Amino acid sequence: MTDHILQTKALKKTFKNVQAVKGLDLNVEKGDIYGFLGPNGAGKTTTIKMMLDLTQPDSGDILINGRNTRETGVLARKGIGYLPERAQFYRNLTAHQTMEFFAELKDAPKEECDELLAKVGMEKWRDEKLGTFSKGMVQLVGVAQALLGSPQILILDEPTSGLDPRWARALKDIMLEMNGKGTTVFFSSHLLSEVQEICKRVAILNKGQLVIEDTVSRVSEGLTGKPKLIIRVSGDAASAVKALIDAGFSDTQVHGQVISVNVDANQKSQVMKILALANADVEDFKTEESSLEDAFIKYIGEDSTPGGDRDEA
Amino acid sequence: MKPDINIRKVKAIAKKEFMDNVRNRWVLALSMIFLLLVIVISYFGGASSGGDVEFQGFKATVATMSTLAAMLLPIIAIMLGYSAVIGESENGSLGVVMGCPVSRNDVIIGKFLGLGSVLLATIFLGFGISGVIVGAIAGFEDSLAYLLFMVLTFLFSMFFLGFSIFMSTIATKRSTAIAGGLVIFFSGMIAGTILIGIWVATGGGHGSDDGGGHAGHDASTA
Repeated sequence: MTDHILQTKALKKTFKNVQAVKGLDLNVEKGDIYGFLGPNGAGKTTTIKMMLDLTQPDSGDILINGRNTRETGVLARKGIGYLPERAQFYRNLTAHQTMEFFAELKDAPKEECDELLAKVGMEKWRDEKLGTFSKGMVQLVGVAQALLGSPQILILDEPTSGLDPRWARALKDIMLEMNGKGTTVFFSSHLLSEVQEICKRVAILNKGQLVIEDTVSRVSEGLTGKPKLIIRVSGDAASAVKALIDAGFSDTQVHGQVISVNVDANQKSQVMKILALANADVEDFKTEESSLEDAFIKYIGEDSTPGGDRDEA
Repeated sequence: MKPDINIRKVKAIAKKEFMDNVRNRWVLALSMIFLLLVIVISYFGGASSGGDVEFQGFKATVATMSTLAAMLLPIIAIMLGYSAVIGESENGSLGVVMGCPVSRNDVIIGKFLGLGSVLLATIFLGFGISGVIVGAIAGFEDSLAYLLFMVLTFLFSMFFLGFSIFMSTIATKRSTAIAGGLVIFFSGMIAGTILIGIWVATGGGHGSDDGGGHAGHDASTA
């Protein structure tokens, strides 16, 4: 037995003549916080919809707890908390009535309704109609709804979009807290910073294809392998750069008095010595670890054309 | 294939549909229109056929009301049904519901029953209250016929509700769904009128039994 809680195998989906998802294999392990990254139109939403059987794949399988969802049917969705992107609810129901409705659909205890509204900070608006709420408030009720019934897996599609930074922070804390209690969290995002911040593992999707799936640190490492040393010098920067390139640091750039060079961690002192010999006084320096953002741009390339996330019509 | 229906989930969805839609301003407004319409027709209805302007009994009121109800209720039913599925699919709430352990059957049946209850409430509020008023003034004779009229009107509008929910499930856009609903509404009207025309032309009477005439209209339209 694997400890994979959620898997897709050779998942394919085509809308009219657009191939939205082209044979996708994902492996989400139990206890993961899994970031599903990709530019708009990469097929993230379509993949998530297929996981929940909201869209039928053309071919391929989805396994939840090792069981094929084609066989488990409705029961496959038991134990999943799901929030679609930019969901709206019912204008004439209050926050509490909305929670009660979903509690009934999920066989969750009624007490959870108020607890979870409090968790997302919406208890003050418990008896107000959703028609009067801002987008962010509706999103928070949506998050509370997804947490009903202590789900094993949380699947959130762009959960922080539409939330102001304070609430985005609170939501990330909720995700971490749920994960601490053993919930596997799977969420899509186009914000690399939040994925880097809280995720253990990450997949990058581009044009319906998996680019990479690995731990966050390995995805970030895998691209340059070398941290970047950024040095501000006074004096002759040009000759300092020449000295560095002559010493074998070919990946060296200069902008005015700022030199950036990709080095291994143990080569930093060597760089400093070369600069001293070249009569460049170091005013300031810092190292920049390669970020997921670099990885992302590198992996998906510069040519990715923007397009809307495709919804099932 | 086994029927995938869970009564508790159906009930939850029906309840939600009822609560969400019964507070819809349109539904409230239309109930009020019915209420006033019945009273006005009961009072003035006789004048159109050369009678006196005074409150008439149920029989005469129903005779005039039946055509009006046959026009108005399908409109309400279509209004409630057309966005039931496609509307929620467009705004994303259907996705959240379908992400729960519920089947498509639960959702459709729940919606049909929930919106049906809204229709029932509209009819019994609008026609019921005014019925009591008319009855109190003009007497409660033939009140059974009036009740039958309400029940038939309800069944008649459920037919349109079912069709508009069906349109809503197969449509890819909200606008397509309402267009489909309107096509059904007008074809229903035309077919009904033609059938009544044939019925009258082939010797069927109109004045003899108005309650029955309405039922005939229902059946022919359905």
